[in-house]
Amino acid sequence: MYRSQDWYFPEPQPEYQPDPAYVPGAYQPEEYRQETYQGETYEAEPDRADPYHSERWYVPAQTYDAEQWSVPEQPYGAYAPEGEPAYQPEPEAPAPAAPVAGGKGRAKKRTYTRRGVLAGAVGGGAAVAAARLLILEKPDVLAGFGGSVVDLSDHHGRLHNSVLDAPQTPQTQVVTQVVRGAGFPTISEPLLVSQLLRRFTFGATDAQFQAANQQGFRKTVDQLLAATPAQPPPFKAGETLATRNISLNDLQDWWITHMITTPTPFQERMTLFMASIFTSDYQKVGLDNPFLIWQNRTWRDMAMTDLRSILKRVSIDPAMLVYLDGNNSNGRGTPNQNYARELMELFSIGLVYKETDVTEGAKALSGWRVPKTGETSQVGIFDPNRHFTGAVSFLGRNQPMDVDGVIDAILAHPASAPFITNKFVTEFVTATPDQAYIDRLAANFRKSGFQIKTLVRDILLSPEFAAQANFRALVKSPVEFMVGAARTTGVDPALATPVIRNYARTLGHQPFDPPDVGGWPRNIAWLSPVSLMNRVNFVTDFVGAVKTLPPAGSSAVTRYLDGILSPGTNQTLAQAQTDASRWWTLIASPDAQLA
Amino acid sequence: MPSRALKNLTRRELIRAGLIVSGGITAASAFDIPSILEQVVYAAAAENVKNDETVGLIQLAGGMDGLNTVIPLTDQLETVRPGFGNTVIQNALNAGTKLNADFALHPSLKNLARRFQQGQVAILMDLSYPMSSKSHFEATQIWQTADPTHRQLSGAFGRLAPFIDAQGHPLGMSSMGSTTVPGILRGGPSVAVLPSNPATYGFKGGVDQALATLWKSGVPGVYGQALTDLMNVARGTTAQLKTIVAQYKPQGAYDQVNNNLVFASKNDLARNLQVAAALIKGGAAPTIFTTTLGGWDTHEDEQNRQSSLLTLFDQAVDAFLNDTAAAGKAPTVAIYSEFGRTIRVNSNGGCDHGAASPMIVVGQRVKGGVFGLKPTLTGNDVPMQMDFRSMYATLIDHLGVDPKAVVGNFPLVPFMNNNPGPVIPPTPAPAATPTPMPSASASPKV
Repeated sequence: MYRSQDWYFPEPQPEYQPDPAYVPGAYQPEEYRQETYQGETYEAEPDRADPYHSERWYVPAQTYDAEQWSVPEQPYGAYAPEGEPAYQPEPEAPAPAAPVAGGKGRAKKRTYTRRGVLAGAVGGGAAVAAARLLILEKPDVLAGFGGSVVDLSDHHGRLHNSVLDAPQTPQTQVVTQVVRGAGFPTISEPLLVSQLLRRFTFGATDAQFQAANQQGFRKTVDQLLAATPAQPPPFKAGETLATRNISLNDLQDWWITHMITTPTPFQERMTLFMASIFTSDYQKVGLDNPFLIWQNRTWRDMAMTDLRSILKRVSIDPAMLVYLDGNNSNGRGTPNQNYARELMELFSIGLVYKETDVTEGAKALSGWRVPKTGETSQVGIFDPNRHFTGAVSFLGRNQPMDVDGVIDAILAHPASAPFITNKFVTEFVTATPDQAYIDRLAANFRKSGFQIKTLVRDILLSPEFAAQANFRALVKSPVEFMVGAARTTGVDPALATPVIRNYARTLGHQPFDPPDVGGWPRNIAWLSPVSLMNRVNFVTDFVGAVKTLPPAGSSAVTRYLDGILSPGTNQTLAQAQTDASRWWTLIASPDAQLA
Repeated sequence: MPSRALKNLTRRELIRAGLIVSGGITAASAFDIPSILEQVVYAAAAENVKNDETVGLIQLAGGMDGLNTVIPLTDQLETVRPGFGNTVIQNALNAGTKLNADFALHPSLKNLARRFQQGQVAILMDLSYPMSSKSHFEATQIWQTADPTHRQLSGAFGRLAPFIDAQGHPLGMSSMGSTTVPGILRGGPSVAVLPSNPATYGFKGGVDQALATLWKSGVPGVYGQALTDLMNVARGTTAQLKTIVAQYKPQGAYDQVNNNLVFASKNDLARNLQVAAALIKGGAAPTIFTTTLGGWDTHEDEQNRQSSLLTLFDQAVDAFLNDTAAAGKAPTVAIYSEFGRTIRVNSNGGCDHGAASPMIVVGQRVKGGVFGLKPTLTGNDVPMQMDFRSMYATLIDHLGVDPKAVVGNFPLVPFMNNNPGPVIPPTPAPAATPTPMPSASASPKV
C-alpha cells in the first residue's frame, strides 16, 4: 500500500515573466513593426502594436505606475478587511448598444491606458483593483454570439459586473481574453462563485448557476454546507450480504450516474474526496459482497461530520477491513500491521510514527471481522477473543487500547489536524499552500473538535481561496472533468455514463479502483501527453454519444469557463459552426482542464 | 533548433535546448526538439551506428518477499516459517527450479530457472541500504532516487540524462503502462510515457487540426505552459508510435498465445513488456525503460498471492526475452522492490514489511550466478548484504556511463558480461498448448 509515483511532482509556481521585447518609454505604435514570438520574428501589422488590440493581449507591467497607483490585490465579497464595507457593485448607466461593423474593426482606437482604467475604479467601496478586462471588438469572435453585442464598458475603463448589472438581454456577454502566464483578471464575486461551483459541485447547471449568482457567495456557501446528502437509488443487484457477482460496470455506472444526477453535488464531491483518501478497491475487497456499496453510502453520509467519527467508522468498515487486512487479525498471535501503518501514514498523521507504533497499534486494532451471511450488522464485528488485552505502547501512551483508544491517541498527536487540513487544501485550494495557512486552518479545525464543516467553511471563506494566484490553479481530476462536462451540458445520463466509465479506466481514475492505498494522484500528476490525449478523445466520444446538446451560447461559456478564454479557445470557438463542435471546443479546451 | 542527426548533438546543445532539467515536468516544446520518439531512436541504419544496450527496470511494487522467491535450501527455513518452509522447498525441488546447492527459485519461476542454467540470470543477495525504511512511500522514493537522505529529487536513472553513452548517443528513456513519468526516470528530459495498448494511442475523430489551434500557447495560469507543451508532445508522438507498432511482428510466446500485439492474457506486465519489445525491434529502442507490476504487499495469504504473481512475472519476462532475441537483440531486465518482508509469518499467512531482499537481473548480457551468501535467518528482518546502489552502478556502467556521478561511489558487482558473444536465438517453441496465464483477479493490486 503505497503511492509510488507521488513523492515528487513539483507543482509549477506562479511566476511573472516580463516581456523582453518591451522597452519602456520607446513604445511607439507606428514604429513597432517587428514582434518576436517563440523565438521567431515576424512583421506585425501597425495596429498590432497597440497592446489592447493586438492578438497577444499583452499588457506590459511597465505601463502600471506602481508608485502612484499602488492598489493591493483584494478579493471581493468573501473577505472584507476590518472597517471596510463589503464590496458593492457600483450602479452603472446602461451603455448604448454598439453593433460592430463587419471587417476588421481595428480602425477605432481606444485610449485606454492602465492608469485610466485604475483611475476610474478607485474610490468606491472596498479597495478595488480594476480589471484589465476589455471588450473584444473583433467581429470574427463576436459573430458567433448572435450579432448585436452590447458594450458593457462605461467608457471610463470600468466594467460592469457582468452578471449582476448586465442588461437583461440574451446573448449579452463579456467575452474576455487573458494574457499568458498568471494573467487572470482580478477575482470578482461572480468569478468566486464560479470557482466555488466548479471546484465543489462538479460545475453548475444553469439553474444552480443563476441561483448562486443571485444569492451571492456567502449565502451559497451556507446553503451548500447545510444540505443533507442525497443517496443514490438502491443498487439493482441488491445490497445485502447475500449479494453476489456484482458487475463492475454496473457498480461504476451506479456511482457515476448519481454524480451526474444528484441534487446535492457538493456532498457528492466530498464523497469522491473521501473515497480518494480512505481507499478500498474492488480487486481486493471483491465483488461478491456489498461492502463497497455500503462503504460508498457511508462515505456520503459521513463526509461532513467530524474526524473522530470518520476515523472510527473507517477502522471498522467492512470493505476497509478486507482491503487493509484488518479482517480476522488476531491480537493474540502476530496481528498484521497493514492497517495500523496506513491509518497513521495516510489517514491521519503522516510519516511521523515509529515502527513500534505500527506493531503496537496492530495489536490494539485487532479483533475485528466483517459480518457474515445471516448477520445484520453493516459494520465490522468485534470479537474480544482475538483482541490483544495487554497494554500497548502507542504514540506515547502506554495502556490497554482498543480502536477508540487508538483514535484518541492519533487525534491527540499534533500532526493530525495539519495533515488532514493539508489534504483538503491541496485538493480544493492550491497545490502549494503556505504552512501558515495550513496552521491557521488546522488550529481552528482542532478547536472545533475536528468538525469537517468548520474546516470547509474556513477554507471557503479564507482569502487564499479567493486569491488571485489560486484562481484556476488546480487541475481537474478525470472524473471531475468528465462528470462536470455531463452536468454542465445537462445530457441524458444513460448516454453519458458508459463513455465516462470507459474513459475513467483509460485515464486511471476508475471509481472503486484506486491505484494503491494512497489514492489517486493530483494536479500536475494528472497531466501527461497520454492523459491529455485521452481527455480529448473522451470529449470526442462524449459529444458523439449524447446526440443532442444544448446551445453553446455565451451563457454556457460564462457558466463553464467563467467567460475567460485563452486565445486558442477563442479562435477555435469562432470557427465552430454547430453546437456540437462548440461544446467540443469548450470541453476539450485547455481552459476546461483547470479547476 | 532544427532536427539534426542525433549523434551530432553534444552535451552543450542538449543543455541549451533545455533538455537537461533536474526535476520538473518532463515536457518538451515542439519548437525545441524533435519529437519524443525521435529522441529515443538512435539513427541506426542511416548513420551506421547502433547502440543495442537496453536495460529494463521492472518495479515489483509492494515489497517482494525475497525469502520466498530465492529460497535458501536450509532446515532453518522451517524453523522460522513453520508450516511453510519445508513445503516451499519441496515444491521447488519438485518443480525443478533448484539453482545450486544453496538456493532454489520459487516453483513458479520455471523459465527463470532454465535461464539460470544457461548463465543468463544473476541473483544479487539481499540488497538494501543502511537503516532502511518500512514505509512504502518513503522506501520507494529512496529506491527510485538512490538517496536515503532524501536530498535528491530526481530519479537514479533520470540523472543519466546529461551523460551520453560510450558511442556518443543521447540516452533515451521510456516507460510503459503508466500515465506519468515514473520516479526512477524523473529528471530525464525525454521520457516517452507509453500506454499499455498502443492501439489506443492517437486522437480520434480527426481533430488534429482543431487541436493545433485550440491548444496553442497562451493558456493562462500556472499550468498553462505545461498543458501546451504536453499536448505538443502528444501530437508529435502519435504518428511515430503507430508506425512502429504497425511494423512489429510478435514472435515467440507472444505469437503462440495469440497473434495480436496485445498479449492475450490479462498479464499487464507482459503487455507492457511487449510494447517495449515493439520499440526495440522497431529500431526505437530506449536505453532504459521501466514498468511496474503491483500486488506484492502480501500481508496475508502470501503463498497463493506470490505464486500467481511470480508466474506472471516469469512468463512475461521470458516471452519478452524470446521475442527480442528472435530479432537479435539482447536487452537486460532488472527488478527492484522497495523492501523485503519479515522472516517470520504473521497470523494471516503473510509477512509484514521487512528489510533486505534478493534482486534478479536477467538477459543474455548478464554473467549468471548467485552473488552473495545465504541469508541469516535470525531476528525479524533479513540483514543487508549489498547496497542496492551497487546494482544500479553496475547497470549504469554497463551503459557506458561513469556511475560515480549518478549514484555515488559504490563497488560494482560483476554480474554483467563485458565480452558478450552473439545473441542466442530463442529455443524453438515447445509445441502443444502453452501454460494458461492466471487471470488478473488472482493477483490483486497492492
